[in-house]
Amino acid sequence: MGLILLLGPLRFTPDLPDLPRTERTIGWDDVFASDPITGTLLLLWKLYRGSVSQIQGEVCNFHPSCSVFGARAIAEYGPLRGLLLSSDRLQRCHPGAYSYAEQYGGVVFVEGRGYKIYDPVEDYR
Amino acid sequence: MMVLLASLDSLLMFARDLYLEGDPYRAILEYKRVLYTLRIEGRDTDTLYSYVLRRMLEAYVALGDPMGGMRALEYWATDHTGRDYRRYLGTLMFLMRDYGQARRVWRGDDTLEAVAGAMLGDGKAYDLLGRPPGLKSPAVAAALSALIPGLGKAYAGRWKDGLYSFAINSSLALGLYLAARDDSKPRMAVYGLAFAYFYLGNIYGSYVAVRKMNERITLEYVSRWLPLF
Repeated sequence: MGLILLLGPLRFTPDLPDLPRTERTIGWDDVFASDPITGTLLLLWKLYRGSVSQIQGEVCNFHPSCSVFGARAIAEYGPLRGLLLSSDRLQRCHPGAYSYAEQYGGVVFVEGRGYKIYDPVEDYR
Repeated sequence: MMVLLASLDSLLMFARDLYLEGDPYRAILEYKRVLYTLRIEGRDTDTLYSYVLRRMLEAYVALGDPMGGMRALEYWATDHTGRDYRRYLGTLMFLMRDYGQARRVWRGDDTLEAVAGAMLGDGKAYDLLGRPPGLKSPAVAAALSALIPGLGKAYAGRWKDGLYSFAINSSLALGLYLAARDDSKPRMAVYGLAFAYFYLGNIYGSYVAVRKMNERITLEYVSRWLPLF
């Protein structure tokens, strides 16, 4: 029952949204065929976005949010570095993070989310 | 002729005032007007032409559009092999954080090459420019975080991040210890994986935090040698 409740709001789409390079259209088949580890991690991310994230609501202090950042980091830098970056981001996401906003890209207003610290994946090249 | 010179002079002053007033977009238009006039008069090799070009590029940078500056430079510069052209082009590339390209464009100019080299982490660059004060070692930060989670972040000057990392990692370590004490393998697996994920992320995060801090300090330090501004 719990599993059904957890998986209830899942909405699968054929393409991954918000991938870092929009000129590349990556489908699930491509991801799994080229890199099964990355594919599995992105599927886990999809499960999180469809379930916990929707129940939890808007709590992240950053833009893009930690889950989107994690997925982009994995897609952009591979599973190892992507996981390390996502773990680091989760440990940086706390209410006191705003005092370090100038060390990131400053504070930006995001439609529907309010004021967030701008910290894109591209800054970690 | 005097009337024309006075007119160019006042146009330049007007453009400069627009720039100082905080309107770089309109300033660019006025600078282009002057460049156009100088070009049709055949004075595009003048020192004045180079001066106006530089002012226009500064306005592009103030506008936050170094890419637009590169396009303008390509169009308005008449000598694409000249010293000024390479200096300005390299600066625009530098501002777009393409330090490798900037270094290639600046080849032959030791100081500017060192400026780009410093951003690329070339230790030899500091022999010429001097070492920026306040640089820290990313390896030390990683080692400190491996010793006590969060300590590396505190070393980077972000003690709030450090405290938060310490709280997460110590909670998970405690969970892992309690699971091991109860000999509960499923709990051990869950806590073990979570702890490994956060612990390794904490080490890597400290390394990245110090590296980015060093990049900021170096950028601020070397900016004084940039030809624009």
